Amino acid sequence: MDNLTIDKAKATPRIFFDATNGVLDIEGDSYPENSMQFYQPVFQWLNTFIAQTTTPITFNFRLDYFNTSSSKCILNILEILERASTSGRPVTLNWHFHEDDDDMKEHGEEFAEDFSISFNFIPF
Amino acid sequence: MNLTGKRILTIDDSTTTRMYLSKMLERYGATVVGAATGQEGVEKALGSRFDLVLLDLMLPDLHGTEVLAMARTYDQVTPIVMLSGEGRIHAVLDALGQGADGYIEKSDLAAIDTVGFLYSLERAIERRAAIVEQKRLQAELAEKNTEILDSINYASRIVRAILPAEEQMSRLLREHFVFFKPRNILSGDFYWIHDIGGSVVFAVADCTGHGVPGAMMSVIGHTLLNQIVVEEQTSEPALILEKLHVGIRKALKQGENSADTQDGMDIALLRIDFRERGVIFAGAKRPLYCVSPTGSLTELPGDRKAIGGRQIEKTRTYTSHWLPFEAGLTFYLATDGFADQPGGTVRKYGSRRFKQFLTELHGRSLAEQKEAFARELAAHQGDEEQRDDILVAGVRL
Repeated sequence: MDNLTIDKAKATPRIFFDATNGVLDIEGDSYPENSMQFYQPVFQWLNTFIAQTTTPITFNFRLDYFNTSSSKCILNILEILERASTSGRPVTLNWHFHEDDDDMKEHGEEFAEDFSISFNFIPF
Repeated sequence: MNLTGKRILTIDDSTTTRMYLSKMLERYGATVVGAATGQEGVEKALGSRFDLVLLDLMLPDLHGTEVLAMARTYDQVTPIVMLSGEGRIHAVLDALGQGADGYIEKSDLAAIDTVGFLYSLERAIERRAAIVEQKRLQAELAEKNTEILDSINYASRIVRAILPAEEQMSRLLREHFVFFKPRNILSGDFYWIHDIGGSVVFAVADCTGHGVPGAMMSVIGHTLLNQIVVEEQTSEPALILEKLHVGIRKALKQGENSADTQDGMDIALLRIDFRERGVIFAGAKRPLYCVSPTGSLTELPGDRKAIGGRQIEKTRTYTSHWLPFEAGLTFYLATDGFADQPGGTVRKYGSRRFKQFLTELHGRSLAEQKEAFARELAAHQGDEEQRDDILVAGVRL
């Protein structure tokens, strides 16, 4: 399966999903005008990866900022990961945040409250 | 190359050159008209439409670039190719800068390099066509942009009319300020106020999106608050939020299915009860900041549940917080736009710094505070673009 690479742009994060080792990174800012459109290929890749492989997943969120509509897309990703985890796929979820950024830490905590999958909070 | 049906004008004082060009071009199907002087050339060029003009740089009456300038004043569409003697590269470059589309050295004609000659003509015609097309697209883009902006500006008048008027704010809240900066004309942030039986309900909300979609959500939020508070006379903040949540889900047909729209809003809502002398707050992902006259800050967190959007639980409830009514207490309700704004050199402003700034403002009038917010934002933002709608409101008891 091919890797998924989307370069960082002004309003969208860098996305690098490595199909060989299962390390999936999203990093930077996310505030596209049409979040659903931007994240559609991300959802698609993730669903295919989960269906076609058995590689354990390490998902790294390393975001500086995201808008509310992106947060709905992050929820979608978390739902997909939770479903995979529930059906036995090993999933490690890392929520990276800048050590001064209370807001980003809190956003992660809010997501964590809604999901059974455990979050590792990692300051940088 | 096929020149069938094409009208070509040659402007050259040499009869030999004109004859030569006519012969060659007519062989490819073109109709050729000749002019021996610059003046005659200009008259003919402007008198009727040509598909191509070949123009000599050195004419007896006018310089070729002068003829070019006159023609281009009225005609941006016809390709014009300069004919030059050898070693006149500066004059040629000058002509290209003034709207010529190509050039041919007359020595090439003598060598009867027909293929090269025709290729140069073809390139010149293509170049002019590209320029014409680009201009057309620019005009079309400008027109579309104007149309869209007109529409947005008109919509913003409607949205402004819906927002509480300053007279209403002043009548209901003695001392207050609203610092409101939409990112692009229309806003997903909005504020709302109403009085209900000796109380004033004031809300600051941040809808998903900004611009047009944000404004549409704002209007829905505004309408629902009117319905819940004004028509149904609901005054309990937590209950208002609960009803707002149900209302948004109903309005946007949001169910358990995550494919549905997930739009919604974060909101801070305050009821100031002048009769019972109390302040009641409820928030959906937005806190209430409360600063005492001595500058100590208390933060009442909102519930970690947005209004509308994805939902696993069957119902969603919110928490009301009660505070005693103390004169001089200042409450701040804000969307996340200010704290999330990136600066020129630093990352975003941040909630920590925002709270610190609030404590620094104590003791100053709210009119002064509004100015201070504007200055603080400008200083932080620098040349950085505004990322989200910004709304900060202050109310002093």
